[in-house]
Amino acid sequence: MSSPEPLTRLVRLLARLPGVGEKTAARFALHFCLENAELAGALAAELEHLHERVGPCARCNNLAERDQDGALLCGVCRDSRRDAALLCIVAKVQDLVAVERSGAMRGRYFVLGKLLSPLDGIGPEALPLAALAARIEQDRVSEVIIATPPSVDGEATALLLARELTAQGVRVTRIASGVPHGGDLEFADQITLGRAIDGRRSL
Amino acid sequence: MSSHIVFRRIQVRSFRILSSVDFEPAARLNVISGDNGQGKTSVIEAVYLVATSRSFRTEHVAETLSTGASQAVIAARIEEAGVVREQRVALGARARSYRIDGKRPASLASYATQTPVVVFHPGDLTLVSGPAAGRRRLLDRVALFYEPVSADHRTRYQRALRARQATLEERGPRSPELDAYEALIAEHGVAFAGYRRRTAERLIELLSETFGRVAAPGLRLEAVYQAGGSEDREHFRAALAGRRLEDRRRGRPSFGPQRDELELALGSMKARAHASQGQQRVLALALKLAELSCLESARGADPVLLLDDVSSELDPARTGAVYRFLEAARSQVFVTTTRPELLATPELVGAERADFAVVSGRVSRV
Ligand SMILES: Nc1ncnc2c1ncn2[C@@H]1O[C@H](COP(=O)(O)OP(=O)(O)OP(=O)(O)O)[C@@H](O)[C@H]1O
Ligand SMILES: [Mg+2]
Ligand SMILES: [Zn+2]
Repeated sequence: MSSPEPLTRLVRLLARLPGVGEKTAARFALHFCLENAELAGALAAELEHLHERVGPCARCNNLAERDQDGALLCGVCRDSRRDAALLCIVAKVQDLVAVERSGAMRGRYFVLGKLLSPLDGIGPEALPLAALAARIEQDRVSEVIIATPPSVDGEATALLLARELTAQGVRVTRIASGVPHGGDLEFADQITLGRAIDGRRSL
Repeated sequence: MSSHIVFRRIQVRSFRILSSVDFEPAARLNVISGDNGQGKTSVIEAVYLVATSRSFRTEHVAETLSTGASQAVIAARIEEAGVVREQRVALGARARSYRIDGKRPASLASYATQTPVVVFHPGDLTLVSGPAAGRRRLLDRVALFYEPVSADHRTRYQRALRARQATLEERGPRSPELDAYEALIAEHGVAFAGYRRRTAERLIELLSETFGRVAAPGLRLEAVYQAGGSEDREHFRAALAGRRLEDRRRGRPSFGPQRDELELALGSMKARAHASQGQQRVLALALKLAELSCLESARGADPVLLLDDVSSELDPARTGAVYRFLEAARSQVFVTTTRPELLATPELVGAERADFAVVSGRVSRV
């Protein structure tokens, strides 16, 4: 290859982004190089400090911006109009974003970060169950909506959580399976998700 | 009345020995001839795959990519009730894609039931002589046409079952997540067992009729479906919970539809162990004809017939069947043979029949 080494390195890095192939990566790299040095600088500055400024919310694992005291609390957890007694459990931050976009959720969230997955060696002890129990206790949560994806592992995780939480005396509901089977919540459209939350059923 | 399905054009690239094939079949009979190893079976395997998303020769579709190729493509123009659609399958080493008129189908089941085809090939004999898995596959394929959602339950059932087995083996019979997976296994297993039983009932009913058509008079067939699971959810759950230790020890689950059997007996002798070669062949043919009737009634269309390796000395039963199909059905038929001269069809005129020669994976009109 005849292109300069730093450019090749950049293309290789960009190509590791989700949805970006070798060709698109090369287009981006050339764009930074030849057309838009300013964008390259701005991007570099943002990326350099990204992990100092943004991290998982200490209460729900949603993405949060660090405040002056260094604490991480996300926008949803800081919003005092939210109903603290209603808690929605999702698998990933992307799912939280999807549920938020539907506008049907007036409570707060808890992001698990992972689902049960015996074939990958992930069992119940890998789930943040203690943190979840503490959160429910502190906020006097009265209803938990489980919005894990409708995959087999998502359903199994929902059943496991339902058993643990019911024992803790909380009302547990599951979003209606208006979400397509095997489809990620992330891709479910807003209307379906809104309906799924309104039509939730007891577990 | 059933509608009529016709392949109008077939294009294949980098599939097995077929590097590049493009041909326009006739509406009724297509005779594909060539010496051994030239690619005849590969041609009808490609037709089967573009219609069903699967191969009848292997469960590992990646094997079918031409050696050294990174992607195989099969595309077909198919006419049904005056409307033409294009079905297209692209196979990579890991990923596959299916398209109907350029669009992604709602599900793989909806793709696989668009164009019903039935293949008759020498390997069919294992339907009778081989293990139960082959008969279960036949039931599942037929179930797809009656109840497309059965595929979803089957997949979810199998996933949950694998998760339970891994949990049992890695984490022991008291892990709390077992209850969750067993609840899901029971939920989907009950649905799956229901599809299996209903399909078996339909197939068995048609089988006694097709068997009567092809078997020697006086030969008595007994076909019985034996469920390996249960259609009662509580019973299913209890059976799973009660077998944790055993399943852990054996390394596989001992209860459920993965243990279903379609038992076939001639007289009172199990066909798998005791029937003669000729009897097994007749029974296999009857099973395939029953599959054909099932697909026809479920889909309301005449399935396209693929007949691999028809030669009259070896297999008079199947060759006879070809002629009877041609007389009775209006279906489009693809036949492969090393002996095309045996397939004289004076009753088919002009555009109804086309002959193709296959040499080293190239297909040309004769
Ligand atoms: N993945 C593959 N890539 C390339 N060639 C393959 C592949 N798989 C099989 N072949 C070749 O294809 C040929 C067999 O093709 P096929 O089974 O279609 O022949 P056939 O004409 O039906 O033969 P027969 O008359 O013996 O049944 C063999 O020579 C085999 O080596
Ligand atoms: Mg062959
Ligand atoms: Zn938060």
